[in-house]
Amino acid sequence: MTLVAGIDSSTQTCKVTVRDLATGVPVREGKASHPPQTVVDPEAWWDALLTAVRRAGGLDDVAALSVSGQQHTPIFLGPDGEVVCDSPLWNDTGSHPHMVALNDELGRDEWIRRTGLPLTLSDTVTKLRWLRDERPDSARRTAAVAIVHDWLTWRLMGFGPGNADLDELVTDRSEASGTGYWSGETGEYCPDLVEHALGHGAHLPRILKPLERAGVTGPGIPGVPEGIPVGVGSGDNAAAALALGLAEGDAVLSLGTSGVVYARSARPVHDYAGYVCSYADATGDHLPIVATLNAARNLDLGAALLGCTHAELSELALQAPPGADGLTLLPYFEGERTPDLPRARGSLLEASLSNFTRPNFARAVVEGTLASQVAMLDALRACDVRPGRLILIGGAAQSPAIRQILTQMVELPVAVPDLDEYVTKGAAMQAASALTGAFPDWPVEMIDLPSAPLEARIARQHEAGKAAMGYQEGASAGR
Amino acid sequence: MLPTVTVDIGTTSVKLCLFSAEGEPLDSARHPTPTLKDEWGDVYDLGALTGVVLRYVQDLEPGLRATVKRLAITGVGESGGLVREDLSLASPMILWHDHRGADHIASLSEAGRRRVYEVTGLPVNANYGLSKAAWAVEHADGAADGAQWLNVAEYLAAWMTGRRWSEPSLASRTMALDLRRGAWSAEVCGLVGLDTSLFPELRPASEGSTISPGFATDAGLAPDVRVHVAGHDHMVGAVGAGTGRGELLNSTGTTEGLLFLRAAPSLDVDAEKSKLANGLACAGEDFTLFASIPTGGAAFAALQGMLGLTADRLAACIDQLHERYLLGQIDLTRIPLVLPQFRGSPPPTKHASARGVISGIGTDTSMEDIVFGCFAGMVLQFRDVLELFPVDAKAVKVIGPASRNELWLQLKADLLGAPLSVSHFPEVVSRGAQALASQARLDWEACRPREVPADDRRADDLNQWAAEMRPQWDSLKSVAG
Repeated sequence: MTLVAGIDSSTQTCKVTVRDLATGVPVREGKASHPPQTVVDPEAWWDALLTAVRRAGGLDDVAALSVSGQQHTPIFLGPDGEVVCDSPLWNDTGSHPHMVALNDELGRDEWIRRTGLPLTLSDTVTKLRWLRDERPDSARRTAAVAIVHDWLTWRLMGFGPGNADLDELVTDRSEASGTGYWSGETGEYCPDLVEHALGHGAHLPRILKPLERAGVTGPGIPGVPEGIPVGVGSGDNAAAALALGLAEGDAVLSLGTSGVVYARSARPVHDYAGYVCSYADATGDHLPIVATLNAARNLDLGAALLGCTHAELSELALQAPPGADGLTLLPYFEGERTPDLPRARGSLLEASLSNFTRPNFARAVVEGTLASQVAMLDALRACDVRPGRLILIGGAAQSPAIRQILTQMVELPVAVPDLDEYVTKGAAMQAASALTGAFPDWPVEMIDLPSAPLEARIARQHEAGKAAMGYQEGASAGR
Repeated sequence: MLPTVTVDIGTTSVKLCLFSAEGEPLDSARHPTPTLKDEWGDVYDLGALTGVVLRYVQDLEPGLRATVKRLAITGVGESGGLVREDLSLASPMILWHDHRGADHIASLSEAGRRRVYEVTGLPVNANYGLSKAAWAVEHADGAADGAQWLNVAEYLAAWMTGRRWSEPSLASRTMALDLRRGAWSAEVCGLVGLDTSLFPELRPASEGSTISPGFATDAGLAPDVRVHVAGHDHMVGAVGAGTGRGELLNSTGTTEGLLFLRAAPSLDVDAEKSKLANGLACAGEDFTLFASIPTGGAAFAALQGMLGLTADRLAACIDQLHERYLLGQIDLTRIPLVLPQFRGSPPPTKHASARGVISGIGTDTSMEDIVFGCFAGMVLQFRDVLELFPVDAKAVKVIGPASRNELWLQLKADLLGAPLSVSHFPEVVSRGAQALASQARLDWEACRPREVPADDRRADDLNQWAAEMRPQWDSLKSVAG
């Protein structure tokens, strides 16, 4: 049996899955946690990768590997390949003023025109400005900027401090498309935007084509055999889309740490309304995406406040009627990106003695979480990206309440694929392509959820709640 | 005083006590207030209510029962129903917060509303009995001839005595009473098409009526026992607490009441805008100036229900929070801002449809943070309402269940920057009813009060937090209605 490994260095953990090249079936896996902070020493991600490799039983029998990772998050490298300072994660809200500054300086629409991105605090270019303003010494020492998967790929190829060939830094279109200094039209970087944000130019990873090989693994890496092919890798959403076999007309709702809605598109989009980010996918197409900061962790908070398990939270939610008797949750617990409300916090509205019950609260948590996601489908439609099917993935997709209530909130058919680590699976497909020159044809089993009548009151309640709290969408985007 | 059985009909429970001549409770019981839902809203289950009262008296130890000289009844204001001379009902007995009669006063002009306030001392609102009475007459379909409007406490008295009368403090919550004349107002009744004959004679708390022979037999009481309608519960509490002019009586039940006794009513435009309610005191010549916060102790029920806590666990949580608060271990910056309007808003808006809001919830917000925020919100709301009164409180007397909630009390004292005097005696309202039925006076010392002092440092911190939260607080109030 030939084996390939897919690695997902996500926000919270690093996962390594070893799969059978012929079928894609997982053979074994390992996981290691990442630090919970939002500004992190990147060495923690390398250490976690090595730990996850060890927990996966090592990769000595693996023929190829590839890395996927959290998008946007930069690693600032000095001329000798050293990390010059800790990295602000994509979800670190400390860079909000820097996003505002960049928008003020060039104009919000100019960023959209050139990069397809309504600039958010998550984008790499915003983090460059953060570095310039908040860590000026580190900014001066920064010679190269890589994204997490780029840097981990580089390390796996044996590069790093002491062997710092920055020219060997590579990336892919999907990762480049989340930086805020790449054009979907030309497929090239916009170096002037890097210079504008950082105050000087920086070396950027070479952008590989979808089926290119990044290189081969380097020597002396614990658990990783030397000389096996390393795939091009990608951002996490692009990897999942690849693994799901996303076709035009399909949209994905991913409920993980963040909530993400994306669809495959043959062309880049420019959403001057300010919601849709025009990313690229791992096949050569585009992957317009809308994202929220708050998603699956809303359920953690709901369960913690109710003192129950996730299964009980789901059961409670399904005991309540649609609309939770009016109880309405706006789940901006960590601030929010879509809509742009970095300083907002969660709000529970319309609480009364009669509706302030455990089932209603549980339902309000689920409805609030989903209302934010469903609103993002409208943003895609506004860009003429019109999904005909919704694929629900992510940790929260296993919740019966999430599944059932989602079908009451959208008029699309909803399908849930078999439980799998789709990001690591996509990475493993890239590893396979590095070995064979083509993506493998691994099957994906989907369950079609029973359709339900649309409960329009849920969306109405949330729109009314947002209006009442002064959170009208678009009112503050990019400011 | 005279040995008395008291009946206190609250929003959530009916409290029954037997008091000795010395004013000490010898026996007590508490039952959920029996209510039903009808086609229009919430009404009393009078069969169940009278059953609860009758069984309580019947079940008293015979030796104690034989000592009883008085039955004194108090309860929530603003409830009521139409009762015929034979004591049959011509309408349901409607709960205080039921707004089924709202349409009858909705079309009142600004001038009409102003006039109602000038005459009755009450801001036009469907809580008060007048609109309910108009609804009841309309729905009696001609079968209300001879029926009269009685509050639920007055109904119980009629059931015991066979006689219908209205007590002045309860009458002053109907919005049909000419406050200064102490008589039913033909002018105001006429605004909703009613005649003053719908309302019974007024009889002060000091004047009772002998129980009917049938009730005496059923209850096992001596035939000379007299029944007194002591009055509106918050006003009866003022008697129980020996409240004087200039003192704030803060009575805490399911709702929270703020009450001042005054030599004259406040009928000016400012008082009307603030929706402060004037009324008649249960004893003496004083007027009352009153505001009710609809969600007082009801917040406990809301928190308990939502968080799935038993009463004991919630109480333990509150005790721990109190301890941490005293030790300076509460980080106010992480406390969610809670607008605890779980059953409508207090003055100056008094919107029955207003709802509660919890804002500022982060991923690290805990159940304890929400509980603390709820009590902090309750004291912010209390201060907002207190600031509406044209009176500086020279003392704050606290009675009711909050007197056992150290966190609530301490937050209130610290936010006001003034000490609270808190009753240790638990049944101040019921003993006030006994005093009224006995024509006796009580003083505050009989409640064995203790002081909850404000702490300067905590007061500064809490007021600074409140000041920082002010814009958001005001915004939430506008959001919630």
